[in-house]
Amino acid sequence: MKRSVAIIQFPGVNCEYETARAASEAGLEARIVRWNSDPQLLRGFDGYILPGGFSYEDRVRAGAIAACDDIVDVIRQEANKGKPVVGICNGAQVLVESGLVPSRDPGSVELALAPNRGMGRLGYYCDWVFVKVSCEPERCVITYDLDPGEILPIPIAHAQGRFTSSIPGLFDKLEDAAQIVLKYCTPDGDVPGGFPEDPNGSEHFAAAICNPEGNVVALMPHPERSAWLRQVPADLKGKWSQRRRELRGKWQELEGKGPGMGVFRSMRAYIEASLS
Amino acid sequence: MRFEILVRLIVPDPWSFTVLDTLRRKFGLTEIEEATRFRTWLLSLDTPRESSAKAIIDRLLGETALLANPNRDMWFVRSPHEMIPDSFWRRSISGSEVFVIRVIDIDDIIGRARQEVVRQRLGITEIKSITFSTLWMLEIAGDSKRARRIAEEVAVARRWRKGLLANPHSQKALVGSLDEYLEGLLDERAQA
Repeated sequence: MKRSVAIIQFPGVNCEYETARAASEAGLEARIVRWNSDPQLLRGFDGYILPGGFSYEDRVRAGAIAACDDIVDVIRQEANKGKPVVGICNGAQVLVESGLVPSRDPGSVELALAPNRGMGRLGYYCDWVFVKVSCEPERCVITYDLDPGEILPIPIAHAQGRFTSSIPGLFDKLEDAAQIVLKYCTPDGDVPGGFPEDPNGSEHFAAAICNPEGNVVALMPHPERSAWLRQVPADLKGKWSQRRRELRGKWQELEGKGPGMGVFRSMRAYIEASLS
Repeated sequence: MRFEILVRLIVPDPWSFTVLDTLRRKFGLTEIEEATRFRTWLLSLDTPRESSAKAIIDRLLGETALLANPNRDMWFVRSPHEMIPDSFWRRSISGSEVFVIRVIDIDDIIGRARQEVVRQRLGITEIKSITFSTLWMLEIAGDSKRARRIAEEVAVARRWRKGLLANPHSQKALVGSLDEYLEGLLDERAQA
C-alpha cells in the first residue's frame, strides 16, 4: 500500500506541483491540498510537505501569515502523533514562524529565518550549493535513507534563509542534540570559508533543522529541483555532476534519480518504518 | 538633523488588509478596527539649516525612486515632533485608541544598502544614516490600557498566534501610543 503525503498549497506557493511529482517518484501518493480545505481531510494523510514559494506574498515576513492558518494547527496535532512534516524553503519559514521547529520549548518561536547576510549585496539569491548530512541518518525524516556524511548538490532560492536566534547558546544546544541535520559545505564536504559555499550566513552553517523527535524538519534548499539527474548542472564539482557529464546525450538515463530524490525517498522510508 | 519620511501606497494596501484579517479572525482580536502600514525612512543629515536638509530630501524624492515611487506611493517628510496632516493619514474610527508599532530589522540591510547608493552613486554626503522601518498604526477599540496591552501583544511573535509583526530573533519592535510616537518617544526609547 502506498503511503500518502499532503502537499499544502498556501496562496502564493509555487513549488507544489514539482514537489508532488518528486514525492510520487519516490513512491509516495502525493496530493495537493489547499490551505482552506476541511482540516479533517488532512488527518488521513501519513505525512505533510509544505512546499516553497511566497505564501501570502511574504506579507509581514516570509511564512508569518501562513503560520497562523488553522491548517498549521492541524499539522501540529498530527506531528505530535509522530507523523512527518517537511517544510521546504517558504515551508521551512512557516514551520519556524509557527514554533514547530526547533520546538525545544514547544509552540515558542525560537528562531528566525533572517535576511541573507554575507553575499555583499541585498536580497534574493539563487544558486546550487552543497549540503552535508550532519547527523546519523535515522535521526530525522529527510536523512533516513541517506548515508552518514553524504554530500548533496542542491539549489537554493531565497532572500531570507539565515537561521538565527537571539536565545543565547541555542545553536550549541541544537548541535549537541543533532537537530542541525544538513549543513552547507564545500564540494568536498569541508566547512565553508564564506560566501558562496555559505550562501546566507546561517548560524552553524545550518541548511536544515529538525525538532527534537526528528519528524518535523525545516529545510531551506529545494530537493524537488534536484530530484532528477538531468536537473544537476554538468559543471559542478563532485560525483553527481561527473555522472551527469558521463550521461550527456543519454536522455533516458538522465531521467534517473538526482541528489534531491534522497530527501523524498527518506520521507517514504521514515513513514514505512514508523508505521510498521 | 533627523527627518522621517513616511511612505504609503496610493492604492489600497493588501498587507494592511492581511494583517487586520489575521489579527481579527485568527487571533480573535476583534477590538482592532483598522491597521495601516507605512514604510518609513529615518534620515540623519549633517546640514547647517533645516531648509537645506529638506532641499536634499526633496531632491532625493523628486529625482530618484530610491525611497518612494511616485507611480504608486505618496509620502510625507516629517521633522521631529511634527504632526501628520489629515490629508496624509487620519484615524478612520473615531473614539478608538491609536497605537504605533515600529518594526526594524536588526541588520537593516535595506537601510544600509540605500545609504550606500545615496553616498556612493548619488554623491550625497550630507546624509549620515538611513534606517528603514515598517510602521504599523493600529486603531483599537476600548480603553487605553487594554489597547496598549493588545498592541504590545501583537507586536512581537513569541508563540503561535501570540504576536505577529516582528520576529524577536531578527527584528525589534517599538510600541507606543500615537502621541508618544509624535513626540518622538519611540525613537528616544530605541536610542536608550
